[in-house]
Amino acid sequence: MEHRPFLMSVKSVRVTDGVTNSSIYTYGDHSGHWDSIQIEHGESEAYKEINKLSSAQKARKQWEGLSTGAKIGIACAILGALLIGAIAFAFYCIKQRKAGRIEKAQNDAEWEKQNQELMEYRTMMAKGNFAVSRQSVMLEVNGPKPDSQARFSRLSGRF
Amino acid sequence: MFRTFLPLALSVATASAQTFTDCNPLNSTCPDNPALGTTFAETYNKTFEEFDKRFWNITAGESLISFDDNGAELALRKKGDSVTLKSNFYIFGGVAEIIFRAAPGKGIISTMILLSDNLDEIDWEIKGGNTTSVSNNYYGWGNLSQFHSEYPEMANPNAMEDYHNYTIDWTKERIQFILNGNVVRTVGYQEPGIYPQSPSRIQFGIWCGGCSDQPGTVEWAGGAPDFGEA
Repeated sequence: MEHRPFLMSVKSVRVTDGVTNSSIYTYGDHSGHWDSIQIEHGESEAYKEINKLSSAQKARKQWEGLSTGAKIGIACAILGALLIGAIAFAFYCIKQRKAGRIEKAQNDAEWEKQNQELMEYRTMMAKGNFAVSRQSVMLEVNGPKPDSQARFSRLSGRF
Repeated sequence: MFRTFLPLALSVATASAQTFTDCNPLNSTCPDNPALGTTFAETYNKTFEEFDKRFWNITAGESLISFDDNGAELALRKKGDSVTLKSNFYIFGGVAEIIFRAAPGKGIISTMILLSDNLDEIDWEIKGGNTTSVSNNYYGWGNLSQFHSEYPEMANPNAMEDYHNYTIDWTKERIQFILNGNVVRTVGYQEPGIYPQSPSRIQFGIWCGGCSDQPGTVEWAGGAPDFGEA
């Protein structure tokens, strides 16, 4: 039976340098004396790496540090917002389609009306008779056979 | 680890400086020490997969490190195992604090130290078999013939039963050893070679003093540990 391993459990490390904003230490001589140490100032490699960690990885670590409940809550909130957005968009689409249909129907009716007026006018022109009543013209234009309509159109010449 | 090798090294005088530091500034011109120049802080939990290699050099036992809700777990599983982490950055004076729970078991040593390239050293050391006190110490230039250990009380809960705050506050004028917020020892300035006064890394870890080939080291560590091997 294998013995359990001997474990040293390290919770945290925190180190603060005695010198701030130092980038490099060098030995000025072989005395080993405190005062012989030369300090170059500037951002150290460690400082630069620590600050790289701050932006990207901290966000990830913060996310991982959330409880499962918090993560579920955030996910639901995002999904909920997306769902509301989707429903609102759908309503907007339906409304626009409806308005569009009405508008199209109105435009069709208008076109139909103007087309008919044009046909009347052409017929009256062909007959050279503007005194003729609208109703009688309509009767001639909307004759029983489509052929008669075409014949009148051709005879009008100009159109 | 230092205790195991340094006495051996000092007995072979020419090897002493080279055993443990890549370059001893007392003898030669050494590379620059990259400074910290600010505050570095990490709290360990299961979101960690490894120690950040931008800041830490794992000189031993990388496979023996794991993370859980309590923190970083450094494990010794068999004779010869050790785990050591040393910072890539150096501080020159400053405050170093580690909160940890020491490994229980005689012969097992949990440590937190400041160590310079010329082997100035300031230590907190906890012996796993000692349920009443911990020890602090300092050395100049790796000279182990100096005896500067003190043994502040640590009981109820002892160092293996709970997490404690081990802090070193180091200036040119004095070194303070602080335990759970209480200053338990103050050491005043002395000359180079006795009082640590060169830029130092922070280093921590666990090693088996009781596994040493040196009987003196085994005795100091409290005896050989039981790994449960046949």
